[in-house]
Amino acid sequence: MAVIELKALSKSLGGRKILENVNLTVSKGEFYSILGPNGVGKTTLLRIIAGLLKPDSGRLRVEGSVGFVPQSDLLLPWLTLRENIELPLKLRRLEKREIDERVFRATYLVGLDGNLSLYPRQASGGTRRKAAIARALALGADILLLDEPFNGLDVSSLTSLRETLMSLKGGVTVVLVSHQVYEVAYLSDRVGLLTGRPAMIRVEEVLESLPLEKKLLKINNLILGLPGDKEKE
Amino acid sequence: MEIHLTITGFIVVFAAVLLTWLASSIIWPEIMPSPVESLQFTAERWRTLLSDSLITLENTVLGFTIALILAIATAWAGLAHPLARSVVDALNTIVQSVSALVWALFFLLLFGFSTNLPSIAVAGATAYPILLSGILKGFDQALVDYGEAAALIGARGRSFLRYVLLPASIPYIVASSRPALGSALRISVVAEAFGAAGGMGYRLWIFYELHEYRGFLGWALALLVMMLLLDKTLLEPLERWSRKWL
Ligand SMILES: Nc1ncnc2c1ncn2[C@@H]1O[C@H](COP(=O)(O)OP(=O)(O)OP(=O)(O)O)[C@@H](O)[C@H]1O
Ligand SMILES: [Mg+2]
Repeated sequence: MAVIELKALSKSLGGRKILENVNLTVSKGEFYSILGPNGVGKTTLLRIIAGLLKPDSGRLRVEGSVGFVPQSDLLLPWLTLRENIELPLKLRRLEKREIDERVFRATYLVGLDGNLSLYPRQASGGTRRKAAIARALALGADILLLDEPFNGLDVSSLTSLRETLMSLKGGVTVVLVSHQVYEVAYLSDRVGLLTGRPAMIRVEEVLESLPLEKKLLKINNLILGLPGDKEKE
Repeated sequence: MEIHLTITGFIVVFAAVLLTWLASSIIWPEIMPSPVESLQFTAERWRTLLSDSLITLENTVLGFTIALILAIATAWAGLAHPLARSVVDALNTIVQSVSALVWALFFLLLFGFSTNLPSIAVAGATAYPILLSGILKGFDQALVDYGEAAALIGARGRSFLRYVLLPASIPYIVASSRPALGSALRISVVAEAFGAAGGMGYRLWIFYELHEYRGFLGWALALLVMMLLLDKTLLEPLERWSRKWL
């Protein structure tokens, strides 16, 4: 069942056409990754799916509750990590007990076992990303939109965040934007390449259930513009 | 090291002032009392000095608080609509240009000469424009920095003000509070001098009228010390605290 459906979607920003005729379908529980060069419109596309931007034309259907984790994690610096996760729940006037339970569950799911009383600037990049994901999960998101979550992480934070996402797989639907080929291959069921000016999703590849080397190869070929399947013969 | 230098600077200035004072008391003995005479006179009347300081402090802080609330309300109203914002910007430009003397005389006309109201109102009117421009800057920056975060967590309307806008603007609010409170204190004394039921300014004026220059100089010095104490023990630490997470 498709929980995200974009049909012939277009968007201009600052008088320039960024996205044109974008088609994308993501099924429930699927892990979909978007690859594409800098400035092509990946963030713009995620913001449209998150409902933060209105498309100029085309159809957009999103079924479920969307949690957007932006490129900069957008945690409020004057609140601790815990308070950051709690605040949107408080704004929704949930009861204290319910809030505590949700925060516990979300931080457990993302493996945020460290100190939640840290302020964002005291926490590592990886911990901040996990907190931002936990914030979305605590709000009841069953669709996660992740914008370059691995950016600027050291190897151990990156690995830890990757395993966190792996453990979430299947339970939530994920749309990931990333330049990290290995992480994309490791995690994704399907990948799409967003290219061109204006940009559209030109090629998609199904990775599901392939061995990891095959996935990596497919993504490499996708980026290089080689035909994905016939290459091996 | 740095703190030592700061203290050294203050000591040098104070020494220079005392020396000048001493010298002028020798040159014009009929007018200028010596520092020792002046301090002795003041110390003997410490109860009056204390009550005057408290009145002035109360007037200033009250006026400042009212101005702070009004400035936040004004800046908040400016976010409602571009038209409202243009009105707020115009208001900001205009109030920046009104002289404190005009405010003082205006509030004296309005409230009369025998209450603290003119002093409070003048303190507020002086603090308001300084606070308003600081808060407007803070709100604008907060919108740029945290507008999207607010949308993401569903902070709208009053919760946006309370949980995002105000905390994000605290560094700006505190930074403008320093000069605002300083100006308010300096000018509320002027209003007290023109007519009030007490306070540092009131007493300064009385001493001047009575040609009691020992008291005049003592009270002037006390006012200066009060200003410095307020700044160093309250406002400066507050400003440092507010930049903690920047
Ligand atoms: N508000 C805006 N007004 C005008 N142009 C914009 C605006 N936001 C983004 N753009 C432009 O739209 C294009 C796509 O931006 P976007 O942030 O979606 O790219 P991206 O693929 O996420 O890039 P990156 O890999 O660097 O994150 C860029 O050229 C950018 O300059
Ligand atoms: Mg981007």
